[in-house]
Amino acid sequence: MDVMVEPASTAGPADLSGAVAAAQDGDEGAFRELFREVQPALLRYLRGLIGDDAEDVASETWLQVCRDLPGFSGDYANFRAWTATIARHRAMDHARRLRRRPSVAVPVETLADLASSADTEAEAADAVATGAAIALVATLPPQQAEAVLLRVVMGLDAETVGRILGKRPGAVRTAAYRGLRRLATLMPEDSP
Amino acid sequence: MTGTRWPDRATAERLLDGKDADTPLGRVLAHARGPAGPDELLGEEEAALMFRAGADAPPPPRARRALSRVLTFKVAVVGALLAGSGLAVASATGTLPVPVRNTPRPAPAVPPRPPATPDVRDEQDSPAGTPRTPGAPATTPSTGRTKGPNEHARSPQPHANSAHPTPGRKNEHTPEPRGGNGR
Repeated sequence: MDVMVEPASTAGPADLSGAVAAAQDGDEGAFRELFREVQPALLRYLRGLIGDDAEDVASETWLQVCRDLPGFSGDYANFRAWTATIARHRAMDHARRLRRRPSVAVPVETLADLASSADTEAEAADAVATGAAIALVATLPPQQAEAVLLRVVMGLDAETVGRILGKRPGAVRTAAYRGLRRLATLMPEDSP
Repeated sequence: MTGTRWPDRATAERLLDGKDADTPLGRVLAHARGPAGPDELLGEEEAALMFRAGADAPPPPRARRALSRVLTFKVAVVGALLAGSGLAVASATGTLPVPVRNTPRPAPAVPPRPPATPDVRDEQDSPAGTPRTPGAPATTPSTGRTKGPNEHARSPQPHANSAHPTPGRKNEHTPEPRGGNGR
């Protein structure tokens, strides 16, 4: 699969509103484009929520997205928020079925490498580093972890995250900032 | 926000936007939103299959399919029994039976109602200045739907209530985001 992977990390998500509309009209290519952009973020968000079962829940999420897409209305930002909302519900269903809070392994040994400034560009493409970063965020208290994941990984703003979580934007910001503060204390060096 | 504690809003927003790669935490967050890894797109073909299956029925969960099979069987059995009894009546009386409704009507069951509870919507961030009195007379226009003490909660037709208990509110329905802007 020769997917052109765009370095979306700094530029923020590209606007795929056209692809959303095309997919709603049945354009499979447009749907695949959406999938490639959204799925990595979705998987990371879910991994932070439920650990190893993220793939299964992501699959359930896409099933529902495909089913309900004709009735969806909104642009690409709405689409990402909608997808995250569905994923969140499926994840909660999943956790209820399991009757336990899944644990995410903490990669302590990789932490020093993660935070080091050595060759960030090359490492940014490193799946191991990404997985370790997500696992680190997942060690936060659930509300903080979710706020940080939805802001950072899904690329949603505080208002949108608030709607997804049923909270006010101010509460989302507070949770995210607390999460950052706590994460900063875990960094190997003293200075944040 | 106190303004004295790290991070201040500008710093925090820069970190959350992945625009701060000069600090250890900024680098960790940059990793968290890094480009797609090879394993992260493995589900594309499966998703494309789902997309092609599209709006027409996705395979229902196994449990639901089994349930519907059982229900179909039951309907068939009941239908056969009713047809049999109809024939028996017909042969006994020599007439064709008028449509018989021989299932006794269940007595209207009045489900026990829990005492009126304060609205759960207010559970978080209720403004400090407004005391909540559950049984207060309906003078506050804030909720729009106020109830007297003896009125049935949330019953749209209080006089025709017995046969249809208030349906449970399911939050299963996925809310559609409206007018949101991702960034």
